[in-house]
Amino acid sequence: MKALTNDEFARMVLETPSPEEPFQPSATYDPDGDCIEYLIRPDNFYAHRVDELLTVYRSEDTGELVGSFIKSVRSFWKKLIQQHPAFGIFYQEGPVLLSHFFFARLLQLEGKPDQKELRVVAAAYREVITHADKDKIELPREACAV
Amino acid sequence: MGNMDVKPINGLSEEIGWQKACEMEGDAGKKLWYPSSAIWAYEPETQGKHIVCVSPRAIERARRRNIGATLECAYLVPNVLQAPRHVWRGLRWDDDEMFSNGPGWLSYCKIPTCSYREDGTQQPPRPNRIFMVCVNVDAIVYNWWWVPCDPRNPEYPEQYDERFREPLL
Repeated sequence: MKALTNDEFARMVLETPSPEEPFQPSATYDPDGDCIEYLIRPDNFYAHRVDELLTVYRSEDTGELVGSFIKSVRSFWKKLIQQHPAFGIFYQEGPVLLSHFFFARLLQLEGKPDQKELRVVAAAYREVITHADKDKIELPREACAV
Repeated sequence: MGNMDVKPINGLSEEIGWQKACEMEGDAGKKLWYPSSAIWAYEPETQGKHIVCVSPRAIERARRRNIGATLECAYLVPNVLQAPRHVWRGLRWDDDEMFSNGPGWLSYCKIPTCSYREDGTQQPPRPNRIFMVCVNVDAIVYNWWWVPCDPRNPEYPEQYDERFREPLL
């Protein structure tokens, strides 16, 4: 396989069609990173790592939550179904809501109620759960294939 | 933007469009490659270069956001991959990688010479930020973003000593 020159690569990226429909909050799964990106707003952001799975996107202008990135999606889901088979049965037919996915992760966090680190992480999950719930975001089906 | 067509790679026909750019090859067909988005990257083990492919879905994600994010993909991603300031292999935290027993994924970082606003306007690099590019074990670039710098070492990302396993550069 040959590599593109940088000019060829840039042209290819810039000529990739933009989405036709106006921006809407949504989640996309990328099997190459086994990751889900949940975009709430199309703002420029910086990424802040919360824990092994969750990175939150914060607006460079306002600091508000504008998205999130979840890693190890399929491996997390697979472990979850193994530990709690009823989860798998529950979601066999219907879509998996992103807020439920976050909530399942929240239940696995360990620590004591007065532990500062746990409170910070739990607050971040609360924020993404609130947004995902409001936006009624569903996980792409391929992300939950086990 | 001109209307230039990218030449077919490696004898692949022009019929290979965006969605069909995936090609199975190598490692008993387990590796996914995207010949239409293959670029050079610094190879830290040999200090030479190797080919990586940028995930089409990651490019689409950038397109969905704004033109500035698209320009970062077009110009900053190759720049950081080809002339990084630091490269690490592997991540320390459990569940950080799909292939935690494998050789480890590569993380490239650098403060580039510019950044882009949402409307595509070029501006100086973002203050107190560093640009990171993530490459999986199959040499596929699946993500990139600006992250806060380490307050003590501005040319490193925050928590670098906790997050990354093996510094290669």
